[in-house]
Amino acid sequence: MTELHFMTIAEAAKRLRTRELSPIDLAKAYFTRVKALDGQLNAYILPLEDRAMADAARAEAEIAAGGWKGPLHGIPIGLKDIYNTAGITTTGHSALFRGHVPAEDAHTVALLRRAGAVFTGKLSTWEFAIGGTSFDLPWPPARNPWDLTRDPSGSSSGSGAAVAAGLCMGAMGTDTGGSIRGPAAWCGIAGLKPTYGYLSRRGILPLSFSLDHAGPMCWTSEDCAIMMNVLAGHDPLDAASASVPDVDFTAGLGSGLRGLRVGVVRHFFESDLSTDAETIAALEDSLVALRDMGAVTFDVTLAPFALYTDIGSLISRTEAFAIHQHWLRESPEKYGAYGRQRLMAGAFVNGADYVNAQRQRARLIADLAQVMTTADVLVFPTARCPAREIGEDSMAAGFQPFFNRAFNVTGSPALSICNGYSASGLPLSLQIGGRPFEDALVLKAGDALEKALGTRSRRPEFAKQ
Amino acid sequence: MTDKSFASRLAASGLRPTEADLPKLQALVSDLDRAAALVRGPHPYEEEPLSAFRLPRP
Repeated sequence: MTELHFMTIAEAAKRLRTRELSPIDLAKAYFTRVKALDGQLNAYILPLEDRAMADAARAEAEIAAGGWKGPLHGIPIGLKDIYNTAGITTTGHSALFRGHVPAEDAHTVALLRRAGAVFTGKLSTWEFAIGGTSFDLPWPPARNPWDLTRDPSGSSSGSGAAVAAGLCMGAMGTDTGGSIRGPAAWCGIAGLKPTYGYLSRRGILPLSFSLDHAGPMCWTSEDCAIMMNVLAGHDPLDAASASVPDVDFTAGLGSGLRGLRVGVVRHFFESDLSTDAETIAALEDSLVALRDMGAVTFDVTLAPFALYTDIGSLISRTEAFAIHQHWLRESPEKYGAYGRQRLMAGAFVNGADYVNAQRQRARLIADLAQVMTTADVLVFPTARCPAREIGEDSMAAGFQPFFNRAFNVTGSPALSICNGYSASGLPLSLQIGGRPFEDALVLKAGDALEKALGTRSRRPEFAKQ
Repeated sequence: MTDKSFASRLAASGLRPTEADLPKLQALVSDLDRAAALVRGPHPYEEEPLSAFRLPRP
């Protein structure tokens, strides 16, 4: 039988529902591990053991009384520390917000709470979801559980590290320029950037209003689908929130991929940005697996990847500066160096360039929609290479380790899954993009590939302690 | 972008980065300047950005 801390949400939910597994025992198992391992991993800024044990006790009583709320009832979930939590500090991993105690939960946190989730704690992040892997902040940066000398990527660094190491069963991340998919890729888990507007961002510290996405990070695509069933929905108090019909994100899982049209964005990794051989080989293996399942694969052409990056940077830097400019002028010393530099850069974009970047963005969205009349999903690697050494500035000007920006700019759903391992034992990654609000199809493809490739049976050696 | 124009733009911004910040900040600004040059081409007169304001129905 799988150890408690390595169970998926899907497995644990079945056992919790039948009372074969106790939410209290499950929460205890996780906190035993957090105490033993997180001193080296730094995934948590603030573990919430007392509150979590109270939540777990409540869940146990509710389930015993016949009040099972659904598959997240009693499930240990971690929150990136930019999600507001009522009465609990929400720091953004920054000295600037060290004493910030919100009065209300973020909307998504409230939804999870209502579903009976047990919150294990607040997880490390790049400072305000932009600052990079930094050593000059009040808390150390998260490390990669596959190799503690490696970077977990970010900005949802603690979320990726904690899920991979079995220090929480699922986590919430955010993705403005790849901040769910980057750590999902380098930590070897599944991370979904949902369609823009599918999940409310209300109560999450903003970075870039028109590019910010909230989303789940889990060991499997199936678990991401389970979390999406709780998280997706219209929030009239989030200006970008979409009002679309409810979907069961798990309904199509396991029903096969026969006839699925898979566009391969080959120019991204063959000519736009150099990509390492193991990553490309893993992608080709994934294409074989897709064809074996009856999918049809063919190459497609999008705009050059650099154009998405440039448009995304102009928009995100400008919007981030608009949010932070007061603090950057009043208290620049309270930021870490990377955060301060990246946020200040937005001051140098003029208004007309910002507006024209948004116009160009509209064209990129229209162009992608045209391509997606011929393909149901698109695939390409998430990362160009496995995790780099921690301390290297992975997001320095001119270096781009991930193929993530495109789907932030277009707002379309994009899922990163683990599709293999390098010779040195580090996870490799594949990204699956879809049409707006077809997140369920993207998750179905990711679930099928994970099962076909058999990547979910392997955990980091560090996590086996 | 020359050092001089970066310095004058920085002064106009009212920001106070540290001396150690300047090389990386200038590199980031240089990247943004290059990106901005790409969007300064002609745009159709009536083309509206996608962030159009939508009012809710009563």
